[in-house]
Amino acid sequence: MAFTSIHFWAFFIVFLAIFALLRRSTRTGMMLYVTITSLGLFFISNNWLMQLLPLTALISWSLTKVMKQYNGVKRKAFLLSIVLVDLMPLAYFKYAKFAAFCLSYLLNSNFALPDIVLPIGISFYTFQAISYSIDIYRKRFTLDISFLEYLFYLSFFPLLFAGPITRAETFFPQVRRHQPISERLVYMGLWLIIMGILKKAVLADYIAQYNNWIFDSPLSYSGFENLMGLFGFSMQIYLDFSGYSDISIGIAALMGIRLRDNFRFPYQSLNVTEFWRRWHISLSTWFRDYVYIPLGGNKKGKLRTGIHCLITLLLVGIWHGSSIMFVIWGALHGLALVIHKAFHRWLRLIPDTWFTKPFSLLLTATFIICGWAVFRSQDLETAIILFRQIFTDFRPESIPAFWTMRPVWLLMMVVCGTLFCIKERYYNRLMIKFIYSPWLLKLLAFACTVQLAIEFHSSNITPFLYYNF
Amino acid sequence: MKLYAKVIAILALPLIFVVAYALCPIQLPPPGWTLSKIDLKNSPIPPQGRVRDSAATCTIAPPSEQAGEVSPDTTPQRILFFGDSMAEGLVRRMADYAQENGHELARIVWYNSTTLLWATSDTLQHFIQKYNPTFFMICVGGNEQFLKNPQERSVYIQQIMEIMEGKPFVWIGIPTWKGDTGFNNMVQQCVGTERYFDSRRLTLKRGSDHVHPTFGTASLWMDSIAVWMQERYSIQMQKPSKKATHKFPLHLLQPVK
Repeated sequence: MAFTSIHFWAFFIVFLAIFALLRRSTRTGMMLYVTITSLGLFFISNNWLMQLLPLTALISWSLTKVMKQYNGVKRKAFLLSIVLVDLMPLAYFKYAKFAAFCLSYLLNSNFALPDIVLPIGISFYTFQAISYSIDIYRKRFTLDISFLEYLFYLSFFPLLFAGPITRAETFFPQVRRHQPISERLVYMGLWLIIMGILKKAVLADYIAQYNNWIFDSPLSYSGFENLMGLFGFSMQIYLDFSGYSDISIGIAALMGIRLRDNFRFPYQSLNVTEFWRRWHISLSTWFRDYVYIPLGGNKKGKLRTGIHCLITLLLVGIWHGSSIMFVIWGALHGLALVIHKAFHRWLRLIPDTWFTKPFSLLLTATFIICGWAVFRSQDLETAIILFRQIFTDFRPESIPAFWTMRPVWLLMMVVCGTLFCIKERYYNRLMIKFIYSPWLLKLLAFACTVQLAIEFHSSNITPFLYYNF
Repeated sequence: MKLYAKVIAILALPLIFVVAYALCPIQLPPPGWTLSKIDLKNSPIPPQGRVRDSAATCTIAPPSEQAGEVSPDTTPQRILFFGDSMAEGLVRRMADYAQENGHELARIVWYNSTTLLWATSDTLQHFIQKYNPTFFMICVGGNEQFLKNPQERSVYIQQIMEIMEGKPFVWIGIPTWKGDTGFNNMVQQCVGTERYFDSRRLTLKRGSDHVHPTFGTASLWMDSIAVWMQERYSIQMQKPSKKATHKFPLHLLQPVK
């Protein structure tokens, strides 16, 4: 059930009304209600595969509770078994078919697993479960959590389908505090929902139509058209994913839970390191805290730092899916990080001027956009053809015809490009103005957003790109 | 509670308006530009009346309600590929795909043909009887791009679909470079987007007649179609590594005098 569907909103309005009544009276009742609703939504999406989530939650929570009683080697052993238990379903559902394919290829056999349905959100709730256990192990998170609270956390439906990955230390204190919900938080949630719908249902879905044609068959298009497709996909993936994150965070805010931002204007990054502090923040910080730092981080010398960066980004690539293209994309980013860290000491000496800043921006953006070509292409050949078309068959004479045939698409790209340049402080000011605006203005804004989504919505539904993770 | 009431009102009122407007027969505002409606029968929010080209209207019910659901099948197919002269390059490349993927293929190219001819003559029935296909590929419309009232052809498209008796098919749109009077939009609406390959976005090199794509370009065109088909159907359309050696039947029919 997509967050931009009319069915979801009809359901959510009814849900919110009952939630508002329950929240006033009983915290346990509220958690039970939300958990049952979340599992129900999971059931609608994945049928009886939904049993995996409460089962994973029960095993993970029980083992973590037992682990708390031990120290030393036993504590470590428990943690290892919890992580393995959490990762096993993810490994099977996401990577078994690919592993069987590789094995079959190496052995030159015909063996292949049948298609495996991927449970919705498995990558996200698995990582949430692992982060909870590790934080308990490290004694960073010390609250005693009941099974209902844990299941509520893991199955929380705004986060269930495609994140953001939320830490226990962010989530539980807010649930436990159970304070009256603030007007500012609720209207911030509404603002985020409006932003999310505009980004996803209006902009991303529309520009995706053209991008899909390019990546389906780059050879059928001129180099200029391929370049437009590449720019278009760079816009699309950000709008699609950040739009979804905005809606998730917005819905959670309406329910009184403030989550951290998942994207902070990533295309304004001046280098790759900064990009990974601004892009999919919940995932990048997860890998930083639970992979990069445990490996040694930057504390073991330059060579080891480089290796840790590479390993971490390779795993980030693998997390996205069982395709060699994601691995290559992760490796490219890993290499870029290694290079940046290696020269960081000298790069810091270069002052930020009217020339160096735009140059850094351009260089970083060029690398990121080229990386997206690898990320999106179904195989290496497609990516190579795309770049080859751009450099060998540009055909500038097709530019006027392109402008004439696709004015709305181009207008959307210009709008997106302009929005990406907005400074964070101006965006925040706009959000504050919305939060404190009259009720009628908020109603008008939401109504216009809904109608815009209907006007621009394509008949080919594009689910959230990260839904498949 | 008052706060939640306000928020729920903000969420609910537009939803109520949108649903009420979808059920209401009137269009807002006056002609010239209309507010799109949602289609309540289908999920999630596919808009109704979104087509901006007034020539693209089809009074026929959506194909999935009439011609039966498209049923994907990964086994080798008996494909009947028919069309006008625009299809000539496509059917040649399709032979490579058929051999690569184990399909049987029969090809009919009827020069100067139109949807009217295919619907009203018994040519199509004849070849269906002869080859008993399980899958159809159609490329007709090259001679109907500049009709004054293209929506009148919708009834012939419906007849062609009836002749195919609910079997799965794809309709390959014509790659117009001078625009058209609404024929392609009309076909797309009649057969459904999921069965229509829109060729208008492709830039194809034309032959010496400045109309038909060269055979080389038609080959690339077919490759694009194959990628699209493979995504939407389970029909095997792996890219061939070599030219077909098997001679699949090819019937070249002359124009009707």
